[in-house]
Amino acid sequence: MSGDETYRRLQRKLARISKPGVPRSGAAEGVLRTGVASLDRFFAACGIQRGSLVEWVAGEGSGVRVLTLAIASRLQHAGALAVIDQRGEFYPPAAKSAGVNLDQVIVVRPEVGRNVLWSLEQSLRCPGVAVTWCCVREIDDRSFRRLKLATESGGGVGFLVRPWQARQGVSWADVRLLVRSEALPNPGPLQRRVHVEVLYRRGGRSNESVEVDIYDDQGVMRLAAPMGDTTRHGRAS
Amino acid sequence: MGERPELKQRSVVLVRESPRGEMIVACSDRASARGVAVGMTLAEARSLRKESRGHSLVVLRENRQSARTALIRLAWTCQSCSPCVGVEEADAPESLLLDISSCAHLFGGEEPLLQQVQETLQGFTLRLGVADAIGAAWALAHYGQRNVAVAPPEKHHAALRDFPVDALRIAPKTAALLHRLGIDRIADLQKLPRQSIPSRFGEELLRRLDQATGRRPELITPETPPSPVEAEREFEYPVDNLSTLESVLLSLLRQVVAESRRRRLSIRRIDCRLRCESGGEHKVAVELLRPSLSEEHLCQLLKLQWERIQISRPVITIDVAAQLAPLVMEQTSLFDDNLSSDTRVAELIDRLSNRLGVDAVLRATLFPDAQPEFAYRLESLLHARRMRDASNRSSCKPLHRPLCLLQPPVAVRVVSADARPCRLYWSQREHHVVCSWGPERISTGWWRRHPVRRDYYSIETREGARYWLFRSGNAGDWFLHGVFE
Repeated sequence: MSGDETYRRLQRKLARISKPGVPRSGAAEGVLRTGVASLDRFFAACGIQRGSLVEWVAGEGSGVRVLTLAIASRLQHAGALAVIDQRGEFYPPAAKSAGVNLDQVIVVRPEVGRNVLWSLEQSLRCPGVAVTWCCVREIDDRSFRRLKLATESGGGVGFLVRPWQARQGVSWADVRLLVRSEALPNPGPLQRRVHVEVLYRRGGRSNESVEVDIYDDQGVMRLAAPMGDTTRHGRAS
Repeated sequence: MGERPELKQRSVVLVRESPRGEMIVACSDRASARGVAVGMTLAEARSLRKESRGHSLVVLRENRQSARTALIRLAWTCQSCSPCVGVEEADAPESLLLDISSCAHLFGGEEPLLQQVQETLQGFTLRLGVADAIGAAWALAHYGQRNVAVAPPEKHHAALRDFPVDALRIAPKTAALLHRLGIDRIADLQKLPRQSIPSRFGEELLRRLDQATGRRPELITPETPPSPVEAEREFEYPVDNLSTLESVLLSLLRQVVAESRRRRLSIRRIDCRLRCESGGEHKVAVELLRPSLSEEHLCQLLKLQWERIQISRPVITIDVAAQLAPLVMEQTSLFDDNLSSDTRVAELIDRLSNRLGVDAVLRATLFPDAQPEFAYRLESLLHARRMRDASNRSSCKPLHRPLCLLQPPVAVRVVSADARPCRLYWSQREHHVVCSWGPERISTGWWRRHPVRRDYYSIETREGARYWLFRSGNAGDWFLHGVFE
């Protein structure tokens, strides 16, 4: 390692100590793009900043898993994807259709409830894991804070998929997004539209929303902002 | 490639420094298909890639120490085929030597033994040579026309005659000199008077020729797996205090790590045994994805296991045994956080597996099976075979399936019209179906113990939620199998 590089690394370490908000991992700098420009705008850095915790609140059958795993697949270039799957519902063939590289996936199935948060924290704390994905039904304030600190420490991204009821609770996530299914004029089995709304964003405005079309075409998941008029009202979930 | 499966679909080349620049010493099939060949310089290979407008080459630098370590590990693996397995003596060894003279009959002959070797080293592209002399077997493996070449007993002289002189394991300089003089084949060399060979070409050439023909004996230095490192502590009186036991256990672990470090080997598994006064015993086992010598990491894993153990009776003796593996030399850095992400992920898998159990930390492999629940398999990451199954990249067309699969399928009440679902009663609610797609019939044959015949429908409810239902062909009952969440 050259002297200049060592000097820069020491400077970064010093900055991390003196500015607690800066992600602590050496690999933590940088922004990860979701692949959908309109979604990227929801995040302060026009993309998901490493060390961020993103909370996705959605009802059953809304398409949130497809959306989040399709986005996670686009972040896999930065490292492994850890799926914490307590209920044993994660279906790998569908994940592959969503674009996930299964060779880079660690599926964790903790049997005991308290181990879910422990596994989640360990995974978030690991710098080699780019995205940690988990469905979390209930979480207390203190544990949530621990997860946020773990994400900052690891420098990856945490995706917490929460039930609809969680939208009123306290959140330590950087962004809380609401996902609900939208009607399509000509619905088909391979295409669906989801409405994504910002419920909370650290240091930014909320109440922004965007619609995203998900195409499951020949096993290639494509995300795109819909063309034309998008002002129709979404269905109540 | 086994440790970096993401490279399977890439054009990968392994390069070595040479006077001509970086020279390619090995390349993947995909790189070969693009015209890249062993012996090319990296610059030539890159220019080819530009012409074909393909993706960029993945360039790996040769690390002889790591390669030798990996070869030694393979030698240990092959001990199931022969009691004497060694690595060839060379600066950059690339061959394993197996003495099969006294054990081929145990496998039913040489052919079954070769099959056993291929099965043992499954996932590698192998070239096998069998002959009476080590030099002849080496030549057959490297220059034989087939991947498996066997010289009949006492016939290896004849098999060698047509091989080029390069097959004698001689220095490239000597080989070049022989070619320049028109001595291309081993038969040509054998025509020369033996006495004149050392003075004209050096001692090495005659030695190698004699080793190939069997005139000069050659030994295999066996690579034997190291014996486990053990440490033991016997208490003067029975102890049942957990913190005392933990502290003794960790101190024994540190002793084992220090001894392993002294022997320049790393630890791949630790077995701890706590014998109780009444005769029973408690066992704690720590397994690692990658061998490690990190005291901190090993202590952490042992503590995770320790949290799960319940000591009911006083302990009189503790012993710790570590199974060892070759030490992989890695360049250390100034900062701890500079460890490679692969190492970090391996450590995470160790931690998760040792706390949650090896069956809770898994990787998925896909299978082309029509029945959704059998279209994949989850296996422990710690116990998974080294080489990954290629089926994750199989060409079978992915089907439209939900990410949330309920296992087993849940019986639900459905109101249908013309065999299509209209209303679903699920989760204590009535869901009105506004769209449905299907049926997709999945039917398995009589050869399955429980053959199925299902008509699947994807439905969208008035609330916008999508579900995956099927009607069982046998009884006509409806089941919810997944949610398009």
